[in-house]
Amino acid sequence: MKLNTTGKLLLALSGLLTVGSAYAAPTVTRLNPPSALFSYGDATPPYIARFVPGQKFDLQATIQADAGKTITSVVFKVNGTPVTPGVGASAITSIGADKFSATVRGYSNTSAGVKTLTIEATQSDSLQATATGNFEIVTITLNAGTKAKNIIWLIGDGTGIAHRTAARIVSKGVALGKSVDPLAMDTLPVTGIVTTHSLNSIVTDSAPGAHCYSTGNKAFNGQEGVFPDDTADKWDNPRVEHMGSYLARTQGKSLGIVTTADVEDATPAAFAVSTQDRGAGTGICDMYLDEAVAKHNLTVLMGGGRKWFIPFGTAGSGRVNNTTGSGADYTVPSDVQAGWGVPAGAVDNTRDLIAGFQTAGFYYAPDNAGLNSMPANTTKLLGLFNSGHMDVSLDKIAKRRNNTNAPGSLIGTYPDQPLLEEMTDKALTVLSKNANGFVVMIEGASIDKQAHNMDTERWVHDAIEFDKAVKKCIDFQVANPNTLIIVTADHECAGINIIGGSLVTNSTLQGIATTNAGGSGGTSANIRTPVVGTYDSASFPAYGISGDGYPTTMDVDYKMLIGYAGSADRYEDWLTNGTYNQSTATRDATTGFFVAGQATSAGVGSAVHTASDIPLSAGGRGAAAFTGVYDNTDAYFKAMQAAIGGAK
Amino acid sequence: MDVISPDDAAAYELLDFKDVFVTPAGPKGLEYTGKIKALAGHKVAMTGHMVKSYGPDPSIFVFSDVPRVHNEREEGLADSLPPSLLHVVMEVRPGDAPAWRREKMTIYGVLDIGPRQEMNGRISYLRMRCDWITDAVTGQFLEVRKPLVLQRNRVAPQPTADPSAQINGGPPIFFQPRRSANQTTNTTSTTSSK
Repeated sequence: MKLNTTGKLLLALSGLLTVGSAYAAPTVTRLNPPSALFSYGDATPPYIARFVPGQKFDLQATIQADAGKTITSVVFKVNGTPVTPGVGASAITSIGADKFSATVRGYSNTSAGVKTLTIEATQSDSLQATATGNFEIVTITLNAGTKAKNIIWLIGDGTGIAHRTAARIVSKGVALGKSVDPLAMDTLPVTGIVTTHSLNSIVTDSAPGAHCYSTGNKAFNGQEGVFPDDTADKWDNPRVEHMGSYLARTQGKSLGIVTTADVEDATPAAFAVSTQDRGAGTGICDMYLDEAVAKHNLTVLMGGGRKWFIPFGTAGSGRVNNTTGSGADYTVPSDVQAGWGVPAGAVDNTRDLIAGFQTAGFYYAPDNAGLNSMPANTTKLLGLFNSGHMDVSLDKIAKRRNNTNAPGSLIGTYPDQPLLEEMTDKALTVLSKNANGFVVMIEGASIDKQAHNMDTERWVHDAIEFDKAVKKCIDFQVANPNTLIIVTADHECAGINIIGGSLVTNSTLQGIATTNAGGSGGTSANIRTPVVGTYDSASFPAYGISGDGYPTTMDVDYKMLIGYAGSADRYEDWLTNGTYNQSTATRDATTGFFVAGQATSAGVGSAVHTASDIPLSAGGRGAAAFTGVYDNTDAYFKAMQAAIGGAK
Repeated sequence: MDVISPDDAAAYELLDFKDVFVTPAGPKGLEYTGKIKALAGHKVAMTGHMVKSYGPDPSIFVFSDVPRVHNEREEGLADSLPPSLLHVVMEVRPGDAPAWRREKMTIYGVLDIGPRQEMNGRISYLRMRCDWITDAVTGQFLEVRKPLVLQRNRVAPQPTADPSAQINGGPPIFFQPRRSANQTTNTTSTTSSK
């Protein structure tokens, strides 16, 4: 696919023709899977939609009929051969304004190669609309070596190059120009660079940023497990089969999802749920039980988000009573039910989802003590450790060390939350009981969330926590060589970089901040210029590590300094923030100096994701394929090659 | 400078955020404290901070113990806000809505507890029908409402025809900040007579 100025001009002209013809005849305005052939008339690579042989996905088209007319029949053809839907697995649905959505659910194709997809839609007056797109069934080389029995995705949400570097400087140290030790993720033998763009923007959010790894395809921002459509219904979009479902269906593997976020959040949900609204928490969590337990063999689900699992009427529940709004519940249309073999769903905000999981055989851990007392014979594990996102490692460690509850955190309400490495350890224990292997996604979520809030010490601390989970997985891989480990991110967050080191001791910095707080606030003259050391002056910031493996303090003398390119307005005093998730409009306002940001748009009050490439490290069975610079969807196919066809 | 009189302030029982729910939480849901259950329906004063957020309901802002931020675009309802979040209900002034202010404040009003689904889908457990808002330090009355046209970061509510989206007799709007515009570009569609 080559786009240039000429191509854009042709596109504009053809767009005019399309608009003009809409008044005289039906027109196909959308064809899924998405393709450059449909959108731009370009049949050359790269192919936008790709699948492994046999991977299920939906065919969908939107047809604009003439005023007052209906679409009476639709035929999808692949390479000229009509597609025969399963019983009940197709539909032509009026979606308003003389538009119709036509679907064939649960299509799959086992023959490798680029396929031409054609739709022929017939209007009630016999006028016909046709359109053409394409998709690729990617070749999997069979018998290429030993198959990867287990696949471990470790996603440091928002973790770009600089997040890794910062975690290494703080947790391992640098002396005489060399890192004293590598991060665990640094020890993985293969490294790649991954591009992260979503289907509708150079800047992805976390939904398509994880959907790419779980399905091999692009999605719109905010959407997971689906392609975009033209309806407001959150649950009727054309679906793409997840890796977990495919490998459960074809190889009997289990799926695990472990996160420090609310489990309904975009990254975890993108591995098991299909919706155009990443915020539809009630339905997303219901789908984990209704669909993923059965179809993906989901056997481990851990993180925050208990509010979605508690029935409305019980204090602390977040469950809502509709399928349309924020936090929505779900129902799916009959063609989805038939094509994917899933239940209809229901609006049931009084549902006790914890009890539902327990009935399905899950052991439930509400806290770290519960996790540690998990019976040895546990084969299914549900852990819900916070009402929303779990608290961050800096505050969890402070609780363990000093019994302190950070202001703004929920440590006082949920005082015994596990660290990510502890969750990882238990997840691997449970998942490894499946002789057929497993897929697990383990997410360090608040590297991103605290980068959004430009809370340096908290995201660095969580990047260190994430690396400890990586270490657990590497130890597992050493004992289980047919395991593939992939450590990466979904996107970069906040435009972070390490700008240097402090020129002053911590006590001096604290003194400046105290003086500023007692006066008219900080200025560039007293807390920027005298503090920010660049080049030689940055020297080698040195942090101590306590017996628990975490930094003794983040406020060391001559500390590492971080800058933000994707910043919102903020104040900076370089010190660890006492309050969790404090607004950057108030945080450090009296102690620090003002830093004008450039990231501002509706609903955004903090730093934002960037379009920068991200690092990927891989080890174990099939890892060699992960070198180079490639698209985020490529990572899926590399992993599937290892799982289906094997690798040396 | 208009400040709340000591007599007026004294008519309100002080309630701290830490007195909303029993801590630590149990293995499933939360439990109101005896103190807050006794105060339901009574005049209460709570001190804290407006959460820096932009909800769709022009009659409500959210209030908590520390000056938090909530990014609708990034988080939606998967967030780190505490269940003890206070929803402050104000008299609607056409064209206005609450706008974030940085001051530490005291809210005076009548307390309402129990679950209620708000316009943005959030289930509130603690609401106050607001009588007055004052600066917590000076006691000076504060105005938190501001013309919507001057609130550039506020996300416009999305209309929906679904009657189930209507709650509390309010307007049928829901907040879907991530709803993307659909891509309709197409060059290959042709039409013909059958």
